[in-house]
Amino acid sequence: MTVGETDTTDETDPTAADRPVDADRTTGGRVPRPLRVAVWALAAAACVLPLFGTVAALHVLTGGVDAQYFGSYDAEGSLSPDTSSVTLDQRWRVLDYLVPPDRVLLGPVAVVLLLTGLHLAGRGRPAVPTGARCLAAAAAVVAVLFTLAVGVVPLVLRERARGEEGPGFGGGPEPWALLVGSAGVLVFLVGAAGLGAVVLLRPRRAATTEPWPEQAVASSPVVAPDPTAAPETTAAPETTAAPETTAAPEPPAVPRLTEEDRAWYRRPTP
Amino acid sequence: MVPPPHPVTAWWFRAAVLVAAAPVLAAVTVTAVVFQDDDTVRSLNGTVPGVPLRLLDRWHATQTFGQSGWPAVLTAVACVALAFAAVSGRPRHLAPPESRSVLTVLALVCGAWALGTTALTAWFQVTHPRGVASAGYELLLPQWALDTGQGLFAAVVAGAAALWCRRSRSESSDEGRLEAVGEPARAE
Repeated sequence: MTVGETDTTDETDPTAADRPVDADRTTGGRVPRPLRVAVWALAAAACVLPLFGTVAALHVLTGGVDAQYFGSYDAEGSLSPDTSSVTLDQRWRVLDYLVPPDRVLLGPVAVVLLLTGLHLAGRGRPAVPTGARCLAAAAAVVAVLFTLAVGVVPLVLRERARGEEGPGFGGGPEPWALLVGSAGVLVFLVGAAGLGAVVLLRPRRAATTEPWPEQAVASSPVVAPDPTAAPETTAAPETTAAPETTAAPEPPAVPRLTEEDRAWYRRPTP
Repeated sequence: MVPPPHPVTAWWFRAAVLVAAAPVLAAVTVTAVVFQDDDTVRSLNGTVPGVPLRLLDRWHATQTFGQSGWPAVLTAVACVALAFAAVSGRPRHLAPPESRSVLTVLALVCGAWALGTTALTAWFQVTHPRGVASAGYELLLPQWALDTGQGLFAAVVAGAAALWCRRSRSESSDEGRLEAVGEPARAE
């Protein structure tokens, strides 16, 4: 399913794949209810994991797991809750381990991409309701922010800590090495989620109320072009029907027909 | 109308369904094998021989093989993508006639597995004072949140895939097909 993909049924109407179609003329303006429910369910599912991931991240950053990761055992062997010296940089490193961005966001980003494809395939029709699009776009925006926060912010904090404490601080690899290791996942998550949010929030093309040129032609009796009759029809039209056709303004996006082309669709004069 | 499948390329779709089912099938197989093997559970948990094993011990042993939510998430996302292809008939000549029934069953199994594992983990967390840590195992709140989130995500996505397949199979008019949502309606 790609945009602009043509069907074999399009052979009689080559412009059908490119034009916006008014929903009222095709499905009565409403997507069937089970399909609407499924689309809403997908949009809601895309929000579940970013929501749970945000809660988990806030729990870690506010010191919820300090005792488990930075606590010390006292003389009795019990875990001491004294973690007043824990820095934000240390908590962020725990966050990268406990709440990895790929586990939180790969599934939702895949669903956002699916909804984006469905929205593009609608070609102006309400395949994805506006509320569901906003919900999926919100999930995508949270995904981008979460990825940047978990993937990039700790590197900045780590670099700042290295500058304050000296080059020997931490003892781990260089920050750029850490970024290269996870660059593929981070770039994919940010790029795919950002692209999905932009496409989903883009306003839909307004449906026009005027008939399309091919429908206006189809509403009048059409005589199939007959090669044998071509010399007769091309001889007459210059004086009979030419003023009517030139008087009606045409939409600017439609390619203009020549007088010779119009003659093939004109009712033959007795 | 969804075009008939090509006799060769239809096997690509069947292979894709097998690949989509592989994560959940592997997880179910591993869980079933570990659950009934006492020696494996004791070796993974360090449980003293002679002490009767609890359901919590067996469940924790299965969790040592990996994060529980990933198989359901992968299968659910693959299911909904394949359901989209099967219902819309795009790419053409790809989805065989039985694909919707197979995908419906696979989505239901995936959703049941996701909900079951999520409920089991939540039950252990709630029924044991101060979490399962008091029972000898540690599951921090962030880990539990991600397990629950992945399970709910997979269940909802698999349910949407099943709804798509079921709706399109029972619908014979033009209105109910996914084509009618994404494509202009035309006379067949």
